[in-house]
Amino acid sequence: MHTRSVPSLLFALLLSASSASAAPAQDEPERDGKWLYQRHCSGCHNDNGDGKGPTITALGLEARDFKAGGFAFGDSREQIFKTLSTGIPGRSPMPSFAGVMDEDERWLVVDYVRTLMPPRKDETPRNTVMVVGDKPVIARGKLPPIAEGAKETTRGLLLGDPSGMTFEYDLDSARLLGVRLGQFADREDWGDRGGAYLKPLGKLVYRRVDDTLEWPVTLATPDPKAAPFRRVVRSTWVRSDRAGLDYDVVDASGVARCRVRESVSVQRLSIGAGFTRRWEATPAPGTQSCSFSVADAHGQPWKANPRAPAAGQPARKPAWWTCELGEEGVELVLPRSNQSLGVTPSEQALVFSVFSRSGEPLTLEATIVRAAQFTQDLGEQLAAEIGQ
Amino acid sequence: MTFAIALAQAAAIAALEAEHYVVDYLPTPEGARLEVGGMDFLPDGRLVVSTRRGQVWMVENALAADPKDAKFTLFAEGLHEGLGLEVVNGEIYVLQRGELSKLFDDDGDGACDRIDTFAQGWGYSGHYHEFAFGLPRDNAGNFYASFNVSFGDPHWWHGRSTVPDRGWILRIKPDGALERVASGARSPCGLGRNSAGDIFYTDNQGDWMPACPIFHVTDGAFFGHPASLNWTREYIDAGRTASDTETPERERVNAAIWLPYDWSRSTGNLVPNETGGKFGPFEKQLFVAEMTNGYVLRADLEKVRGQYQGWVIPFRHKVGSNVRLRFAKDGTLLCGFTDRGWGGQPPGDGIGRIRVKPDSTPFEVHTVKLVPGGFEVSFTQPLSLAAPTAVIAAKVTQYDYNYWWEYGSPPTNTVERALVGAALSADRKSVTLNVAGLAAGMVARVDLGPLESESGAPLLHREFAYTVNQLVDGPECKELVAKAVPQPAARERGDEGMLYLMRGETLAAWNAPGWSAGEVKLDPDNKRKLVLAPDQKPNDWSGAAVSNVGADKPGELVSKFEFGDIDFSFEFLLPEDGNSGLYLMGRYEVQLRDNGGRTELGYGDLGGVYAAGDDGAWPGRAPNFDVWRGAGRWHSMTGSFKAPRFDASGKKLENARLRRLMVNDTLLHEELELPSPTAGGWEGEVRFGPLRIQGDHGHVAIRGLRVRSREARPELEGWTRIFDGQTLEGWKVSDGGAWKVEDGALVGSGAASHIFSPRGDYGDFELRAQVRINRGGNSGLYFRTSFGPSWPAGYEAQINTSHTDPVKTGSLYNRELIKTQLVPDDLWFDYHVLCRDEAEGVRIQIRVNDVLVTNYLDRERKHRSGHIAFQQHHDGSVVRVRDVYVRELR
Repeated sequence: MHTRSVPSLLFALLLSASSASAAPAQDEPERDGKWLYQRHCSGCHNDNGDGKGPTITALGLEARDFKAGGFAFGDSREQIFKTLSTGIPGRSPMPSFAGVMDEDERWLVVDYVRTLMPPRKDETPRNTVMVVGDKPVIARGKLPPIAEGAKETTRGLLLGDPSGMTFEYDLDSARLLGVRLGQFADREDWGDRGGAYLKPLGKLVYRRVDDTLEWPVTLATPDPKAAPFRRVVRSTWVRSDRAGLDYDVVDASGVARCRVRESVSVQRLSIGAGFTRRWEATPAPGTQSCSFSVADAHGQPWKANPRAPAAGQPARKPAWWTCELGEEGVELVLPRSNQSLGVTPSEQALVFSVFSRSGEPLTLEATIVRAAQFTQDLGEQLAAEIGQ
Repeated sequence: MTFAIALAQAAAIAALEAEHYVVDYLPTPEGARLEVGGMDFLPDGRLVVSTRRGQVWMVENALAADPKDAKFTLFAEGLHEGLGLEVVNGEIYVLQRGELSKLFDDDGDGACDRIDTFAQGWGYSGHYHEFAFGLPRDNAGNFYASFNVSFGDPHWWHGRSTVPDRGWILRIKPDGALERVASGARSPCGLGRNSAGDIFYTDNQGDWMPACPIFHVTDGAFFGHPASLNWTREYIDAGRTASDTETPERERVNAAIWLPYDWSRSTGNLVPNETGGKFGPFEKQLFVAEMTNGYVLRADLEKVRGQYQGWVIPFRHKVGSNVRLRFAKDGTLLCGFTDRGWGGQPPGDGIGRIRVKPDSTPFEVHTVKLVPGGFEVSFTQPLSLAAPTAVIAAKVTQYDYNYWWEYGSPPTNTVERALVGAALSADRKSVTLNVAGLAAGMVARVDLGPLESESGAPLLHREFAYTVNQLVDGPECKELVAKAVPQPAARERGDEGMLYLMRGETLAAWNAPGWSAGEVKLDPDNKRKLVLAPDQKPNDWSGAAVSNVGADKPGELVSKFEFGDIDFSFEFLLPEDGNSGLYLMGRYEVQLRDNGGRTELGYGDLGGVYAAGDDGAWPGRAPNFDVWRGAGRWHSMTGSFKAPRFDASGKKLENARLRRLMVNDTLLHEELELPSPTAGGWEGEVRFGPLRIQGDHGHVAIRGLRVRSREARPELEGWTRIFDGQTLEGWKVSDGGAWKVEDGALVGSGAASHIFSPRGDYGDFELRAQVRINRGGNSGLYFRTSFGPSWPAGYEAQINTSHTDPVKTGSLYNRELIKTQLVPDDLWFDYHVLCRDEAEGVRIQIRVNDVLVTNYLDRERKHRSGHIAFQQHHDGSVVRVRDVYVRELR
């Protein structure tokens, strides 16, 4: 997306989209695809599909130009239907129309939108493209370098969420590399002799750059020779609502000190979608704490933002953390844990330490989202939304 | 045997095979490609199939009488390939590229939702050829997996082992720990065990693998491919890297069986028949998957001097691209197919089933045993021959192979052995063949001749091959079947000997009306056309593309040089419905064509060889496979061509021959005889002719065209070596130049100067030398020149690839200009100059890497005779010259 949205405007957009389904006037023609399109879509995408509709223009933004044939999530009937039904997560103004039009109506719109696309020969869809249905999907393969100058990930994993978010992992180190938005993946390795990429198709919207960090997860133990720790993948799994991977945190002598279950899920928020990483750790006896590197420092220190004290209560611990990204706005991290939580100062990353009480499993959840700007009100609002 | 007779025999055998061994196919699920990598049965009878696409399918009723009753359900997807699958205690193990996994369906909805890592940690660099194959288990419950080498320089097929475990067979213990077992594997696609529980693997022909073998996997064994040695203690400690081209000193083990190349060009796994007699009378014998011909082979082993060796015989051919076999308990042999990237016998994916017809007893060789003096061959039915002495017209041929770095080996030291006696057993079910001189360390291929059974049935397969590593009665044989031979001369780089025809000034070596250089891409507005794409970067190894885009009526692209026997290689790109062709010698056309999804390919499709023009003439040859990848995508074509041969009167002795043609690394033709020019080819056949690319049938782009001459180089008999590689004694240097001898080569560097041969009276002569010039360097080979300062007089054959001087190697300076960079910088090439007085003037011919590139007649006879000299052009230029030979012509 090339647009930069502002939360309050976004909110207005979402509202206007969903309130547009007023009853048709008596003399209106049949509710065909064109009629539905003009009713629900042309405010942003314009009558002719060029993305310069009056509503979006008034906000100083542009919507997807169908005439140019560009579709962030693919232009097959199925893909457009999916986009129309779920909306585009993240900071795109594109809302879900599932509650606005019924399924038949949405298909009518899909077919009408396809008439606005440039004429083209109907190609057989490439059968190497993997699509995420209503459950998360995990695909393993060799991933291309996530950015220019990065290495390819020979043993990679893509975790696709039904909303269109894809989480990219390195299986050799059980490390999250980045998050994408858009279509899921193309199995280029189904061509020729194999060995080509499992190519993620979404746009990279979030990248971890702590490639050199030794310890996305590390442990505090009384044994000074235990470090450095490495992570060894034991399992990957998919549930109906989330997916993730299990790994052991192994000490320098090869002994597994902690089993971690890490999962990711999309977090829908009023300012758009973020995502939540969840760690459930079962440390071996003697482990004092588990530390998780949650986000990069982007060259700026992470700032703790204390919550306003509730009436008659002392000031509460920091509830959200922010890091200025300059032009890009601000990144927010909202952590929560079943145990007491510390933060380890680090030049490179935001690292939370969860203190272990003997034998008890630890959990840490961190919601990560970006906004145009941070205000205390926004923090309170988001904290309320995620039930922090 | 002529080709026609061989074909007729093959057809007859196929018909007979089908009478006894019935093949049918499970319908593949709609829209899926089932590229089988592993198969096994669950305790409940369902078949589980893993594929190269990383999918795992459940098949219910896989053994139903009607294959249509088989029901496929997708159990898992998204794995990183799956070239081995084994069910153990009801749990599904699948071998991915990077790990051995166990698959679970925790919520019981019929789809896998958890994948546990059972074993991991072997090396994987990301190279496409680094497959992981498996997955048999031994009697102790260990799994076995094998790990392909990757490829790289100097040839694309030279195996490398850049990360640990490549070229190794690993044992995976019940706790998931890895243990290295044996090394020296190249492309170990098939693992399996025999009924005794011993582990075997099959390899594939290539470098250091003269043919496709079956090896017994034992701890510490080394099978012969050196790349894997990088990970031995000895190499690691010494900081050594395995050589591509030198024979490793490590002791090799013998292959238990070498599969004849005409039976197995690409071998998959092997399985023992433990069906309790439900699969014909072949209990406990091994069945071997073969992809290219679609064979299932039958083999059996015996121990001689404590080591396995044995024999192999065809069982059923044209089944499909067999890569994985698995027996079902009911005696069905399931055949899993995949041919992606290689090309095999159709079908190229899916599952076939072979069953032995219940009431038929095929008349076959049952067992072969090595006995003193020969073989004891038993049959499934009594022979029609009268006891006790059989008259058998068996033919026994023995051969061995070269163990070398070249790709595969022909059978060598082939010798016929005389059959000196044959004795029939009392029950007439076995024959003892007495073979004179049967030798160990060789394969024996035995054609039993046209035998009949008592009931008049012909012997279904009459040829078997026994790998005689050891004789039962002779002394122990120390020699292997794959004999260590002197290695062919190492080439420094894969492009040594190549002649590049599109480098430098891209079209300079071509007559190219309407063609231009520049990158192209599919026209976004009309995919039936190409457009010039200034934003696209030229491919740096193959140079810029040339195309007929932009001209109204483009002509043909015709090379200025002529070629005889060559290997050729280039890339091409076509728009939708594109149509062009490569005419070898301007006469024999190989099609470049968008196959447009056609399933029945004809000679007009990509890689097809076009029919001859006249009615009733040669009908052309369709390609074996559809290798079209799509409009706007680069395809590679490589091949080897042999020109026709003529006697002195011009009478043709031998037809032209397309020895090999590959598109996108897939073999489409081998040894295809071309009896006449094809339609559209120039008339009349010749010994040398140009390359010609069709340009008037629509847009086409070509890049990176290069050839390697396969013309025999004349023996150097009667030639004099004028530089001995050691001293410069007698040579004269001008301008105080810094010439020296280094590693047997004459090296010029530093300020400008020339070095002159001791003799100064060369008139008519031929000269050959190996020459190498550095990047930006410039030099020249002078002849009929005189000693003196500064730039000498005389003729000069130019030596320059990348110096700013546009006159490149192969030019006769200031007389015949070559602007193409025919040979790369920093690489030895063969320079051959002929200079001779003829009636009309001085004839000067210059050949680069055995191709005539300059043929000039100096009518003025400017220079009469003189020295031979080499030039040092400027400081920064470095020229190397070695093996300088001269033959005088008068």
